[in-house]
Amino acid sequence: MGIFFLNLLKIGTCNKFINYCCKHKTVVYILYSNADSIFVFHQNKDKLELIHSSEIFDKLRSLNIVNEESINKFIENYERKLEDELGIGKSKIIDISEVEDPALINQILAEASNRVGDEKLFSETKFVLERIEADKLKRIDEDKLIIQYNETLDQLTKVWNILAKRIREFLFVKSPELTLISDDELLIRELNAAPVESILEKYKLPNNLTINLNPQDEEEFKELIALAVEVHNRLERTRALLSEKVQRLMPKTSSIATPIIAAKLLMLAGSFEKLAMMPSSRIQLLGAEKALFRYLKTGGKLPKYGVLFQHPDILKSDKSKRGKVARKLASKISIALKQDYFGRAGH
Amino acid sequence: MENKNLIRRGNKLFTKNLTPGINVYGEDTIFVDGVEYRYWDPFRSKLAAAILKNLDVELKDTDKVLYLGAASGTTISHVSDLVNRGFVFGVEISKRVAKQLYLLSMRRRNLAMLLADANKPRTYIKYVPLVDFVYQDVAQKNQVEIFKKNISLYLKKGGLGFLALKAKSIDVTRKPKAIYREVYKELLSEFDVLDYKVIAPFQKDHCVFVVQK
Repeated sequence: MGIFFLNLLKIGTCNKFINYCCKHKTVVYILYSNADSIFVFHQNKDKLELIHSSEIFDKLRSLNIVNEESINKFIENYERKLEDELGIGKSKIIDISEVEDPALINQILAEASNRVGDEKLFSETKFVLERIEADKLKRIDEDKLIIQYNETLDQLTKVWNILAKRIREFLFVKSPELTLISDDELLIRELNAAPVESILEKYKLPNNLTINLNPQDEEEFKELIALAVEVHNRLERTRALLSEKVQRLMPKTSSIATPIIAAKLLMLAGSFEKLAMMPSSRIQLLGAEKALFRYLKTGGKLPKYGVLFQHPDILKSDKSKRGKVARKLASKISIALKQDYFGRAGH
Repeated sequence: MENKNLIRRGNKLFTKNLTPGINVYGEDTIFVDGVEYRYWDPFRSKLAAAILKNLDVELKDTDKVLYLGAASGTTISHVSDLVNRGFVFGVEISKRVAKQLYLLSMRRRNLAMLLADANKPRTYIKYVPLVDFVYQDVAQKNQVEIFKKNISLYLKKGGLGFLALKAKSIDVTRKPKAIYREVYKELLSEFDVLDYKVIAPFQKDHCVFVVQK
């Protein structure tokens, strides 16, 4: 029977083995490590025995780099030592995180802190955690960077719109004819490149109300335009960088949903992992949370789409079919996301 | 609550600053007999709100605390003040606020932070010992389940658990009162529920529970 279960352990159904051992109290050793030491416990007839322990903290502190890897190396070495010296093979040892019974875990934790002493254990734990967690915090998440860029883009767009509106108001004082050019970007780029009179000529606009301000005000106006142009250039560069990054992180999704919408979905979901795990129905309604909860609370119409609304397939489809298109699109996006998430390098 | 690091002035709470001269989030400080105390805002901290509502909860000077959902460290800094000779382990899942928490933990000798998911308590079993007090404020749909899981692994027998329940994150469409009742029953099936309080007007749709293992 024992051999049978050891075989099961090797092929990966280890939980059954542990259940069996915990229930029948057969020989099983539990490995627990904290910042101070590595412990091996053995449960025998409801009694917990400490078989062996080895201090690691002093060794850890002498290392230049303390991270999960270096700690795991200590544990590996220790397991080898156990096999050589005490004849406890790796197959008989389970990690404490695999023990099912919380009461047993409680007992082990209590036993371990009794042996080390609270004050010592805490200061050592703090030392180790400060290093391990800093390591984790320093890792760069590509998806979080994309979210950053996306929000930067949103805010820059707002800044651009405000500036464009301000310049139009200014133009009503200086040269109202120019406000007949309705495209903000075109208008402001022209203003930046040439004097007002030549723009009026170029676009064949009348010149009845245009005035010259005093030099100080003219200077103010010019600088405002220069600022707007700079904001717009910045906006375009950020947008290009964003779409390049999105295409690299989620190539399939961005080919279906367009990079800009893919980035917005990512922002609304919060992280790539969360977005990849989402059902397509949620993807369909991302960005329509307000409408959805209004529907849930007070009834009325269920929203058909959130940010997907900006997708060309939905914009150009018939109004009566838009809900259906959104549903299909969301389901395709959800498949593509899963391909991108689980197929990315290093996963 | 009785704790020697906590004082009341009228209906304002103050905790004795563990790091005199340094405040955490721009809060006011006062001096009593030459000792610096930090103002504890009940509108920002659910524990302060609960204490002002006369919640029956005990947090001693030497307690070890496991704090789930530490965020940027507003409440946890006051808990760290309260358990001056104890220790606080703060668990936070979001990297963005965990960085603030990390910086806070560098300044406080009795605070350590873990970047981990409170929903998977076994992932931090190496570094969290048995504690006297589990504080949870995570605003997740399965927050009660998370609470029970962590208590079963890390709380000493006889220790206290504090749950700040956000009704809206369990179900926005249902009446908060019905949710409180349901959670109360669920907790009662496993622990002694010592006390509970709805903490309006400080926080909307929140109820705090204190359980004993």
